[in-house]
Amino acid sequence: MNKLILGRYFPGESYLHRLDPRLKLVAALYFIGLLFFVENGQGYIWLFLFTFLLMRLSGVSYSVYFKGIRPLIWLILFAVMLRVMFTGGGTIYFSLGPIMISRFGLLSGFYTFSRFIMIILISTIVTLTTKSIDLTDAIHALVKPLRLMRIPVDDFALMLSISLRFVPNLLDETQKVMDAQRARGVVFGEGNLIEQMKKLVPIVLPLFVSSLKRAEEMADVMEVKGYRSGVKRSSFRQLKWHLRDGVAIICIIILTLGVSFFNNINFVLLFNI
Amino acid sequence: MNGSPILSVKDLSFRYDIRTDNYALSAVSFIVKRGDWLAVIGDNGSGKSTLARLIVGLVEPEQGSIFINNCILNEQSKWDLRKKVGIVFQNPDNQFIGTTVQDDVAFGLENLNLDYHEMEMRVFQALKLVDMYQYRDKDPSQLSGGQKQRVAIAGVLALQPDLMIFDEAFVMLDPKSRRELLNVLKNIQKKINLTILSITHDREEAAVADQLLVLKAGELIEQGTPQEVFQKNPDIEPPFAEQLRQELKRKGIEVPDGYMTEDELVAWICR
Repeated sequence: MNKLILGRYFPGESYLHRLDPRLKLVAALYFIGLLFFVENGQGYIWLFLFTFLLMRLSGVSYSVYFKGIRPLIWLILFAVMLRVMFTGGGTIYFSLGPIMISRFGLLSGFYTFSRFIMIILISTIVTLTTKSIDLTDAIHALVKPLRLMRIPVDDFALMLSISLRFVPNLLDETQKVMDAQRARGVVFGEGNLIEQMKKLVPIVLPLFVSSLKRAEEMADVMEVKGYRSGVKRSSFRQLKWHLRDGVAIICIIILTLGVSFFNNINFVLLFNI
Repeated sequence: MNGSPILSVKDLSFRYDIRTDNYALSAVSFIVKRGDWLAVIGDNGSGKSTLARLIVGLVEPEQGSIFINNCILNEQSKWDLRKKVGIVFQNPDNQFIGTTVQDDVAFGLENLNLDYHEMEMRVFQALKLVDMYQYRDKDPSQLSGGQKQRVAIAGVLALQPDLMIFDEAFVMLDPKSRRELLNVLKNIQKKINLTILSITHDREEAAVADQLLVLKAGELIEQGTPQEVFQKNPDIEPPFAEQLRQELKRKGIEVPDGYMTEDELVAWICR
């Protein structure tokens, strides 16, 4: 269950760790967008180089990243196979009815593969180097304009950060309840699907009860400490723009220029699409 | 300002279910003077925690009134009065709202909409008072129960309250950290002239108070200094030091008559 690397945080002090979370979030989205503008193999190699450089900078070992890809590899290969088999054009190496393997097919298979891998790697880099609370702050900062539409952005952000803060507590509690049930003779992971689901009920119910109690106590604490929904509050967590964030932006511009260079099209055109 | 009443409770009655005659509190009145440490003791279900919830305005009294700084507590005034009153609850985990120690201490300050520098200063001071400043960047899973409770106390101290309520805040701690924390609090109380109302099971905790209230089934049955209360009511199990003193007396050893704290008793024995 703990194989999923995406969404985990690895504590560290690297350059990437210290970047502004807003920048990391926007840059990752931008990078993913950029992937779809690349038109040839050189462009993909250029982006791959950049991705590997980031992985190196993050200070997390490569094997961690590849572990992150592993659970998704079959999905990726399936998508790639479809691309390869149903894309025609160029030299045809093999054909059987509607299925054919062609030069263009192989190329677009490679493009699809690269896109998938890089999307996973880039999002893994962001989550591995950013605390979930910083990501919450970043999202909060980016959706702030929605306040004008009377969407309670601040309440949502607080809800998100409290939920994240309680994840370890809930895991602990689940473990405790499971142990308690085990001590009473329940064996988990045995029997057919329905039996296994039935065994989950005595775990979920106590968790629900304790979570509700916890929520109520917490609401009391928040109320006594003066929290009121809709009243303006200041923020102790401050996001500050540093020189290193500017440097990162320059890197992203260079990356974009590289892509447009390899695409051999006008830079202005890229943004006029 | 010392000696003037900060909290006065008049004729307070409350029941959770108005269809029954089960009063959690009935006709309780008392006054707390500024700078005092008042302890409320009583068995389970005696209405101690209800009293705390009433004073911070989490529940409304059925009858009677509560005055804080001579201002009556009601639906309109509760938000203002809460700036003067802080409460620390029993379970340290459920009071930790921020993701790190300093975020949590700052939570109440953010609600006051203070600017960043003011918050930074107050967080620093509050964490220094409870001696947790070096842990400011830690998250709750890295702290022990006692440390979390210190953070909870700092979170309330940062709001600079006049009155602080502890609702069984120390029961989850081991005896050693409980004693440490009580000492820390005693020092803080003197330093910033804080009024403390502590609701407790623990006789040792009750013994450090200046005044003691005893609740039984919602009624106030005894009021006085811990010495008086423990001497007058032999059925209330006294703190360990008092038990030892009475035991020594029974053995025929000449001990002083008044109530003694543990330290005093140790000093007397070692004399």
